[in-house]
Parts: sequence; structure tokens; C-alpha cells
Amino acid sequence: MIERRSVRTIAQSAGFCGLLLCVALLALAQTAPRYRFDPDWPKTMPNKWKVGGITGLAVDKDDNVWVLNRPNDLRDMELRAETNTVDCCVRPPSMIHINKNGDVIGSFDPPQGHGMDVDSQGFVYIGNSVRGLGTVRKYDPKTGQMLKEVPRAPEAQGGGGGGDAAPAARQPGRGGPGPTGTFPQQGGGRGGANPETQAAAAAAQAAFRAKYPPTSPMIVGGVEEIRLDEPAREMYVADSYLGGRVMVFDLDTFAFKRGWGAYGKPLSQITTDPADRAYTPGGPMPKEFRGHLTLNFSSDGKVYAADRAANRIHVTDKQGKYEREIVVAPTSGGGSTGGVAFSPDPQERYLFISDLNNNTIWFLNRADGALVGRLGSMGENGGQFFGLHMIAVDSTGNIYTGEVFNGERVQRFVPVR
Amino acid sequence: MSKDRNWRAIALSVGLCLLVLGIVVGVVAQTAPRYRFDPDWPKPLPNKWKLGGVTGLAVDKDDNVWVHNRPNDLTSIELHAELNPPISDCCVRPPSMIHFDKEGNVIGSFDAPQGHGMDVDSKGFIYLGQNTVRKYDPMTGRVVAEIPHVPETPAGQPFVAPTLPTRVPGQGSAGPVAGFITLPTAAGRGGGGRGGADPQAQAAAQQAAAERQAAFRAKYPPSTPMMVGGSEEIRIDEPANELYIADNAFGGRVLVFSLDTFQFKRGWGAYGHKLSEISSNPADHAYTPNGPMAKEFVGHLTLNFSNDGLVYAADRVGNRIHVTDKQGNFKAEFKLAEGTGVGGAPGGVAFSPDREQRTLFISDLTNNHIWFLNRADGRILGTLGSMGENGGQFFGLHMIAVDSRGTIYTGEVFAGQRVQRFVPVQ
Repeated sequence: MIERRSVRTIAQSAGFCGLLLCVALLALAQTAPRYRFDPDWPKTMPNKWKVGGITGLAVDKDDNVWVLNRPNDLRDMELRAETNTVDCCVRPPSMIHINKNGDVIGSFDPPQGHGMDVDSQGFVYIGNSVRGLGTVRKYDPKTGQMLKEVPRAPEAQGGGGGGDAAPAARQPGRGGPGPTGTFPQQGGGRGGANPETQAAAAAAQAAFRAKYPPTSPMIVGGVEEIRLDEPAREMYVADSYLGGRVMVFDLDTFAFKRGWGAYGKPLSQITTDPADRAYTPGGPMPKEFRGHLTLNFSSDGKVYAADRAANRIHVTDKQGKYEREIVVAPTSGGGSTGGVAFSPDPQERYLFISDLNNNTIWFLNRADGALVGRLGSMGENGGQFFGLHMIAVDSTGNIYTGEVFNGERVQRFVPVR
Repeated sequence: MSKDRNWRAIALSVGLCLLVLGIVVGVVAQTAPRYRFDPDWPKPLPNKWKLGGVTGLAVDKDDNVWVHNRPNDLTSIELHAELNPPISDCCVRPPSMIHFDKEGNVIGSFDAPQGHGMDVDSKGFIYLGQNTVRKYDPMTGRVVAEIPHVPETPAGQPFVAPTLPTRVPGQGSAGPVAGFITLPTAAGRGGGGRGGADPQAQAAAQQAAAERQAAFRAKYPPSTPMMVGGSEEIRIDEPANELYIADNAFGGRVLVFSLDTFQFKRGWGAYGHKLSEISSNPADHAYTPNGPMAKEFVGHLTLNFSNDGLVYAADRVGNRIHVTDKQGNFKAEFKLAEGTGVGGAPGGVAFSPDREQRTLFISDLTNNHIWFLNRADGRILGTLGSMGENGGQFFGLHMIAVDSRGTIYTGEVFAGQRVQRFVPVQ
């Protein structure tokens, strides 16, 4: 009797163990890449620099990292060393080159902007935002000189215009209202405009859109992101105009080649109706890109256009032929799909998506967009995020991140084998 | 001739070597404790909490850490998970008191009105600095006792215990740096006017405020045997059954109360001045970075005491620490980073874990690093950390505490809003 019971217990235990094993194996099969936060990168900034919000991040051919930051984000209390009363800090140049060991190995100071890439010769392509006249500019990092500019509309929506503005004059020790000062809350407007003002703004927008139709073969809005395709001698730019247009330019001549909108629609089919961009988190997907469009392309020729404000990624081929929509964290109010990077394996099996709103990196199965894991959480501590904005991956799979808002830092995560 | 030159060269080399050796030995002898940042403490907070500015930090008898934070510092962008429906994964306001163990797990919490300064006794009771010091039972979150305070505020309002604020989900404040003093202006000490009012009205308001303050001071002179201002810091002396409080009235008073009865026992000011000798003339509290030391404490006074019975009162805005015995007899003045403006350098005082407590660990809010000072003479031995957002850096280094093994815990205000840990490198 006792013996039989033991046998049964053993059988039960064995069965249970088998079940556990299955569960464990299943979990393993779905396991996302594993990473640990590297507290030793970067080293303390030289020259009393403190970086502002990170708006561009690119790994060069030597696996060193270029960081584009917004020194104008810094507040008085971060600039006290400019008036010599304390140890730190001063405004840094907007472009900082950091090597694998975390040392600064170069810098120059172009106008701050949004989006960046670097080519194999070391030239840097920056999405400058100069008084609303944003476009992509190619820089020689050795001299800091601007070499070339992607064609752009000669005026910005809402008036203004007229040439390249110099960076705003700075007063030592005097900073801005801070990096979160103007961020729209809860997806809403900045509130309070009266109906007349709203109507005038809508009319001005309609007039501007009539003058610069969706087919305009140039940058019309601001630049959100840039990716270089050197083998094809092409440059992909996410233009913020009309909620976002994927624009492809010749990498040598900077001449416009092609472009598309949401669902791979030709530029000529993009509507100018705001209703086609309306979206409520959790609701149906809008017909057009909604806002903060970034992009990247895989080694097998797929373009991933991340429409952050609509929590989705549109996959096309390099001609804009639509393949798939990947939805991520669809209830996110501020938008979940910020930046797109790939795992370092030759197949690029995973998408690494930086999420500004949930402050985490999503690991997606690239084949079907299935969520396989995540990395990081919102917070101020090392390895956490507060405004996770930019992501880049080097040849060995190190993940580099850049934050805006209170984050204002670059961090590194190394693969755990 | 050439031989002679050789000999001279050799002698020179040997001399140089000895000199170098001497310098190296000298440097080693002066070396500060060595620490490394521990990226694994604390673990991500549970319940979608995000900390506000840290205004109290204390290690309990089990080497666990109590953190007092200001949930009201959080801005709307940090409170997206409070909305219904939530619009992102994180975060919500945490309770103001959070208990962490050595592994970085949260092992307890309660929500007291936020304040400044804290200690914990061997039975686990918490002493929290608010508009006065209150003793809390962390199991129930209830106030057990309260340090006597004058019955009114300098603004003429009745003194009442703070209550937990009413909050609108998802609606935060203007942020932790919004109200902090700005660079000095022509109008005098920084901060001051948030602008706008016409000069005449401003002058009248200033006049009225000055008159109110004078009347308040006449009624409650520096010798007042109870709390007059709010608390900056608290330290419990259990063997002596005493409680040390830095009262922020008059630029700072060190006040000692009975730990059992909460009755006032004694107190002193800068240079160990008797309370009755503290001047209430603002000129005696005035200080300019790199200028002469003020006669009285200037502001943001914190304190701690050593095993051998010395009290270290850190007058942050005055860039100095006054050392006295426990009766207030003045021993030494340690000046620190005297050029530091806007806020001052010596923020919090802790001790190295060796029995002699040979080193003072001073947290510096303005320069954003920890100073290591030789406790015997206040000499600077080194620093730890730098200003920045990365792990192991500081942005608003406010509080410091050290556990029995020498682990340093730090707490930040401003954009820091975190607790971090640094472990000794052997």
C-alpha cells in the first residue's frame, strides 16, 4: 500500500517535472534577447558638459557612437559652471562622439535637431531644426562644416522662413524652462485657443497644404529620422509633414527619388484631411500617418516606418510596397513606437523598439511582430528610462539608448550570453 | 670628469626616485575611501511607483533603508498610469515613506505628509521632520508623538499638523526644480519674485512681511524652547535618550529634546552660541560665496554626531560645518568649497564605518558629489561622483546615509529623484 502510494507519488512527480520542463522550454523558445545595464559607459563627461535631451544616436563603422543632444534643454541650475559658482555644468556641443570605452573622442556644434546617421567615411547627416526650416544636412565632423543640404520647402508652415537662422544667442548660466516644459500632455493640445484663432490656424494650414501638396519632392516639415543606404546610394528621411512621409533621396546628389505614406500609399494619394489622422489610443488605426514618424530598414530590404503617435509600425519594401502593420501597446497615449533597431544576428530576427511613452524597449519577433519581451522601466536610476527616445545597436549587439525629458542621458546595455 | 657627471646623474636619479616615492606614499596616506556604484540597488519599484525628490534617508538596525520622498514633486508626465484608462505603463505617486532591504526590494511603506529630515530608532519607530518632528509607527502609519512647536507660523497662521493632500489623478505639479532659488538678481538673494507685480505693491508687501516677521521674532525669540521653524534633519541618540533636531528658524538652531518625553533640553547656534545669544539681525546671517564666514548660521542646517560625542552641524548655505560637543561647546569650523553659490556645499553629514569614524562623508547638493573629509581636521581627502543623469551620478544630491558595512546610500531632489547605493571597494 505504502509502496504503491510512493510509486504513484514518483509518477506524479515525474509528470509534474515533465510539465515544468515543457513550460521552461516553451518560455525559452519565446525568450527575448537578454541584456544587462552597463554602469561603466559612458564615462563622466569632460569639460563640465551636461547633455540635454538626446535626439539622435548613430553607431559608426568602428562601433563608436555619435550622440546628438539639445543643449538648449538645459536649465539655469544645470549651467552654473558657466558663471563659475559650482563644479558643474556647462552647455556641451550638440554633437558628441563617444567610443566603446565611454570616452569622448570628438565633438562639434551644429544647430540642434532631430534624427541622425553617419556614413562609412565618417560624414554625419543631421536632421537640423533651424527655426522651423528643418532638413537633412551633411556635416564634416572634423571641421564642423555643413557640406550639403537636402532640398526643402523655402518656408515653414505658419509663416516665418528666410534662410538659415543662427543658433539662439546664449547668456552664460541662463537656460531654458526645461525639457518637459512644452511636451503636450495626454496627447492633447496646449489648450485654450479661441474658435477664431483655431479657424485662422486651420485656414493657414489648408493654404500651406495647397501650396505644398503631399507630392512635394522635398522636405516640407521637420526631420524625424534619417537612415543611409550606402550600397544603394540612397538616403531615407522621415519628414514630419502631413503626419509623416517616407522620403528617399540620392545619397550623392541629394535629389529626390521617391516617397510614400501610411500603408505604402504613393505620395499623390496621401490626403490632407486632418480626420484621416485622427486616432484614439485603443481605437481604429488612422488612414494616414499620425505623427513622429521614424524609420529603419533591414538587411533583407524591408523598411520599418514607426508612426509613434498611432502606436504602430508599417512594413514595406524599399519601393514602398506595403506588407504589414505591427501594432505595439495600442493604449499608449503618447505613442509607443519611437525608434526602430534590429538584433545583430544576420537574420535580424528581432526588432528593438524604443518606447518614449512606456519607457521600455520592446523586443518584437521581426517575422510577425509578435511581442517576445521588453527591457527597462520608467525611473531615474541607472538602466531605467525617463523619456526613452533614441535607440541604436552596434555590430556586437550592444544597445545604446538616448533620452529626452528628465532622462537627458545615453546609456548602454550589453548582451548576456 | 665624465665619471663625476655619471655619479651626479645617478645621485640625481636616486633623489628623484625618492621624491616620487615620497609623493606616492603621501598620496596613498591621504587617499579617500574607494567606492563603486552599485547598479543593482534598488530594484525597479513595485506598483508603478515613481519617487519624488528624496528628503530623508535613514538606515535601520538591520541595515535596511527608509526613504522619505516628495510625491508632490512629480509632474503630470510622470503620472500617466494614474489616469483612467492609463495612457502608459508608468507611473503613479508612491507613498512618501518606503522601506528597502539590502537586496533592493521594497519591504514596507506608509504615506505620511511629506517633509524633510528623518531618523529611525532601534525599535523601528520613525522620526519624521515636517513642520515639526513627529514620531510614527510604520506598522500603522500613525503619529505617536510630536515635538513641541510654537502655536503659529511666521505668516501669522495657526500651527497645525499637515494632512495628506487631495490629488487629481494624473495631475502633477510644476516639478521639483520649479521653486528652487535661481541665481542672485539685482533685487538681492535669488529666487524671490516670481515676477510681475508692480514695484510699489511689491515694496508694500515686503514691508508688511518684514513687520510680520519682526513681530513674530519678538514673540518667539531665539531662546524659545521649542521648534519655531520646520525641521531640516533629525538624529536620535538612544544611549543618551536624546533627539537632535536642526530647526530652520533663525538660519538654523541645533535643538536637543528628550527622546522619551519630547521635552526640550538644550540648544545652540553657530560657533556654539547659546540660544539666548543668537542674533536675529539678518546681517549676521548674510554670506557671500568666498566672503567672510557669517556670525550666525545661514541656512539649510543639518546635523549628525559621532561615536566620540562630537556634533557636526552643516550650515549648507554658509559652506561650513561647525563641530561642537554634545553640550554645544564649540570645537572647530570646517569650511568647504567656499566658492559655492546658490545653495551651498555641505548638505548632509555621515561617517565612515570604521570604529574611529576617521572620515566624514558630506553630500553636496550644489556641486553634486560626496566629499570625503578627514574628521580630525576637516581636510579634503577626495570626492565621489559628478553631476549628471547617469547611474552613479547626481542631480540634486541631498541626503546621505551609511550602513554598518560602509555602504553609502544617497537620495536626490531636483531631476535626480532617486536613491542610489555605493559599495566599498576593498
